Amino acid sequence: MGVGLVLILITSLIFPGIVSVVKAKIAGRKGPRVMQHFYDIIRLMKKGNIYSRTTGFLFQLAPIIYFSTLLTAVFFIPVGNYKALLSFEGDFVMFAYLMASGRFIMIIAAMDTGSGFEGMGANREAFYSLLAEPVFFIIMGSIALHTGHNSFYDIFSNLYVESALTYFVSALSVYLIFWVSMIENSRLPVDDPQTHLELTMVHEVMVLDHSGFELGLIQLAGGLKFAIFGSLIFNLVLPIQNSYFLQLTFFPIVQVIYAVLVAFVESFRARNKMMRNAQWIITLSALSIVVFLTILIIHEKVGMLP
Amino acid sequence: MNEIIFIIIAVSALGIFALPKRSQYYLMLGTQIFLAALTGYLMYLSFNRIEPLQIYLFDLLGNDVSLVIDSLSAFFIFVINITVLTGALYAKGYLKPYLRDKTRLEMAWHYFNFLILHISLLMVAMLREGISFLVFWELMSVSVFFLIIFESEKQENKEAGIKFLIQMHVAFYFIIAAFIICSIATGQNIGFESLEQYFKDYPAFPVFLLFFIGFGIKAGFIPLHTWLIHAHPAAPSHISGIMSGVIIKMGIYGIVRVLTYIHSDLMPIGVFILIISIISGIFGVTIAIVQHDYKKLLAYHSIENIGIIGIGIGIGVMGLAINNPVLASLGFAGGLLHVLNHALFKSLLFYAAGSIYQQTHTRNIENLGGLMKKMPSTAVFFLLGAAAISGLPPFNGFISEFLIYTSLFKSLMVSDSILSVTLLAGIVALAVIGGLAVFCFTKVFSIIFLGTARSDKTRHSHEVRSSMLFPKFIIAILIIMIGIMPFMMLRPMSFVAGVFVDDTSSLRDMTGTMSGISLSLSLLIVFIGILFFIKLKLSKVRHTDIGSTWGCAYTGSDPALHQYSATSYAEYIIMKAKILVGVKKHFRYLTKENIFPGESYFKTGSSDVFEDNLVSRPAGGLLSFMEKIAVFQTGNIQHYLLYAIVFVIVISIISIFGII
Amino acid sequence: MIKEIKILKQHGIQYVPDLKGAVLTPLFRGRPVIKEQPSEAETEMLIRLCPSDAIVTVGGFGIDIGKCVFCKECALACPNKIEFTNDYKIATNDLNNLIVRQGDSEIKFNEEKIRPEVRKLFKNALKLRQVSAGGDNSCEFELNASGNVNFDMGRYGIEFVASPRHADGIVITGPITENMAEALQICWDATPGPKVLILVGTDAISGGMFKNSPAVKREFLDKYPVDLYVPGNPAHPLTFINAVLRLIGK
Repeated sequence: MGVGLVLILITSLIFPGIVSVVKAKIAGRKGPRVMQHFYDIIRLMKKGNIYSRTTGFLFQLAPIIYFSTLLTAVFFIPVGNYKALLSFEGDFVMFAYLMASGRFIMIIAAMDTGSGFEGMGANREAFYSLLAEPVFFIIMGSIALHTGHNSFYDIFSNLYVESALTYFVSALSVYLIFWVSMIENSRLPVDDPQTHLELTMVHEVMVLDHSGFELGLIQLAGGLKFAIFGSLIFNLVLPIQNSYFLQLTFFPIVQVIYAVLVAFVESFRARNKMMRNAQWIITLSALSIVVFLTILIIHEKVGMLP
Repeated sequence: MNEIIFIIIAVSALGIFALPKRSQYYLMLGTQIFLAALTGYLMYLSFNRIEPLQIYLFDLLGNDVSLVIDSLSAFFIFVINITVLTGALYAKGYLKPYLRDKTRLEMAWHYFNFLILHISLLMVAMLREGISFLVFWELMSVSVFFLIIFESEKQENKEAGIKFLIQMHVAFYFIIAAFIICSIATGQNIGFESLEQYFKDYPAFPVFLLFFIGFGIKAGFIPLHTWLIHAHPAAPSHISGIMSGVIIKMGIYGIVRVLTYIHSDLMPIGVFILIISIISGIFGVTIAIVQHDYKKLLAYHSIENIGIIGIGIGIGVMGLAINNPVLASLGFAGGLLHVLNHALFKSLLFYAAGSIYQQTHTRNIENLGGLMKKMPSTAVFFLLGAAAISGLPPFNGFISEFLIYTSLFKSLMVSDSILSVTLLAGIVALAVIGGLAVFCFTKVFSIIFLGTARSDKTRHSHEVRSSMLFPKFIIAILIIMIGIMPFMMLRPMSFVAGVFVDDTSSLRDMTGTMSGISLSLSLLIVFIGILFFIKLKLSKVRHTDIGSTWGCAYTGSDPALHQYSATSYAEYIIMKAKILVGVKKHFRYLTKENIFPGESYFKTGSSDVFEDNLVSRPAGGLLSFMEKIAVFQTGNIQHYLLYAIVFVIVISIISIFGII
Repeated sequence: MIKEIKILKQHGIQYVPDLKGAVLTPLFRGRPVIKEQPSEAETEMLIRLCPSDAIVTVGGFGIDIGKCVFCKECALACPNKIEFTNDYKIATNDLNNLIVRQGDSEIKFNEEKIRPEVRKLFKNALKLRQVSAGGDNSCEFELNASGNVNFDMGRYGIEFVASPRHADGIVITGPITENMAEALQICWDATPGPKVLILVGTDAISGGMFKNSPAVKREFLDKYPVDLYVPGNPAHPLTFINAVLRLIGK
């Protein structure tokens, strides 16, 4: 039962490492070790803290709440045949809103510092996630409609990729979830974690004032977010459900491919012009409506050929 | 028995005028508690019954006037009592600074109206007979008017009150018109009973529309909302809280009550409600984002939440239309639960806002900042309310939105394509509204409480007295309870939904889901607890220090100047939603001839696009037309005599020629 | 994207495979060796010749590479006494070890002086914040180069970060002018402990050519123990990287 949970947790520790290694190789560097992300977090856990006079207890509490919401959200996600530990009807709504809670408290913590930098990052983060929310809901709504079920596990265990149209739906959904994960983790093309120019950052600048244990939690949360989206993608691409063994081997392969793709996007794509970001994200929402309409076609509700 | 109760209430109400200033409050509070207990008892009696509870009151023009309490009325009684009582408790501390300046009569009049408001709210929820319903409806509006203009020294408060009164009467006329149509067409007396017969014989939509406009003005659906945004800032905070919490819900009550009698034409009605609610929700929250007056902002959020309630009710009606009990019961349950939830967190927010106003004497958030250090309890309550209104777990807003989401997702599967698209629009609308609410409330909370002070208005602020904190605490407990243990609301909501739908088993089937929610929230709390414990242990061994916020070590000026301001935070939304929010810039260009530029100015402000086009322009046009006619009013008595003579001549000519 | 991959293929391996064993061109001005003690007269001449007072006469003839600007004038004047090798491992954590005397074959690192928490915490990851305290920007260029594709110190987990809150230490370049003194102090205070202090470049270690200037204000360095001195004018990336690796025990 808890196998999915363990898989996701392990992935969260290794995923950012894989991204860095591939990025480095593409750039021609030697690159850090795959476990470097993990070592960074260990180092942070051992360090002390400096808190700003302007901040209060909310600032210290926020990363704890943020990480806890993500950890709770992990419990909702099934991995192939392994049922999630928490599963009920409508759980994906709770999943999305738990992540929204985490984001809310991090934005509050960022504004607590009373610095212009964090304010900038905070309002951009709120704005972009607001635009990206509908994508998740439309896709989940579409595949809920397709499978006739309402919880993560039921939906994914009944999602069979059989006809050409369902392949299309699956592929487009994976594409969209991929970009949503890039937005949520504040990666290119919305934000560039490498640029240390505060004027153009979103997430990196929100955490500028955190140190020590809290920063370690935030970095862990970053990896966890990637692992969560990776599992969602895994569930969307998995064709059939039978052998546990096949799924156990297929899961890491999917995660590695996902990490490599993230690294490719980070290396080859430039950041969007800041004003164009909103337009780009809304385009994603529009594309997700295509998914919905395709599902409607599949179910012959629109009277076209399946 | 009824007479005794009536006499007690009347004596208490009038006795307020006789008492000295300090004791008036307690008499009012005592009477309100008495009323709450009484109606609470009735509410308890009425749950669990199939037939509504009927209590005969008196005879009016030959008709029986009785209190008819079914589960829906009982639910609204619960909402009314909680909100009014916490408001009354809050009022004690809030009104204290005013006691010095106001006369005994003014305070007595205020308390008296407060009591009348409570009574009329309860009666409106319990009466079905038309004339008495309308009398108490009107009494409700009038008493709120007097409550709004409590601080009548300020001109803008009086204007807000008058706008309120006028719009309430416009609403009143729509409601009366609808009642009269039903009464005449069916030959029965004016009242809700005539609706039953009317909707059987005639098409439902037109009269429903009349009712909807009438009650909708009260509720605050867009574009009927323009009184809300002036009345809420003008009224004292305990009244604003009650207004948002309960009074606008009476509009919802009216609409829902009318819906209980409609059995045909349900699909167009449902879609209509859904669309208006989606528009209200999205517009309400978008315009809220650009406000700088925090009470006006909260007023716009009330509009947004009315939208969410409407989405739930619209879905419910659509479920009735296609005979899907799952859809209907979940939709109504979600929408009506949101009535309770919104009453709770919105009143909490208004009470917190009132505390802020009392300490800082400004409603402009651009002047505030850093209040968290000075008013920590108020800040925590405000944060709680903000998280609840954004629909975040583990608070109650999430539960009602979850019910509405579930109904939307479940109904996706059984609908045809056009309906599916509408439902998807509802889902997207809810998601966007939630995201915008997060945006807006992170802005408000951060600018008011976090960072450093932006002006010296906050210098003398301190935490408010405990009499103002206590009601907020009660509400906060309720919010958290509903949020973490949502299954307790399932049974009451199934009774309420049972008024519309016969088969509410789907609600009871949600127990599993609700337990799942509770379980995940408990897990969340456990994780937070563990990490907090680890942090505590670590902080003993790790080196911790206090410094200043990292601002790239800029030593040039005061860091408080570098903070984000409210306008900057909202900038993205302003840019994208320019048409909606109507942010206008007024400035004077600097001329090129001057070597040293002279004085200039720059002002930005937002105005409500609906108010501009639906109220201000027509009113302005009407006024200018009236001014043209006003030339006849010369004040000269000879002219008036001339008008009289002309009139008599004209009438004589007309009657001679037999036209009349 | 295809074009970029083609370009990558054309470049071949761009990174230095072994940072500890790399050999620099003989033209590089690294550690000086004193083959023979100069005479009294020559010492007099060298003292007048050296632009930054790097000649030490107390306890025998020596060159203080913490003050040396590596201009090589002394080697040109006395080529059979003084020679600059291409040894780039010239960093140390003890100021006294920066004085090169006759017979010294390397710059020694003082293992006892390394604080234990540095070894415990930073072995696998070290994040640094760079403060440019009013120098001529040459060391900043070289530090920038340490993180580029060529040298890539990121392979050891060493990185420059944006916020001192995220950092484990401060790297100072430049002589610490009066205008930057307060900013430097703010930055140091904003770094959570345990933290390291690294001075890179002659300007930072001793003030370089500017040490007598009234615009220089170096009281900051008296307050805190310095963990690493990286000499050079400017310091070569390999010097810096090897120094840090030595400090963290890799």
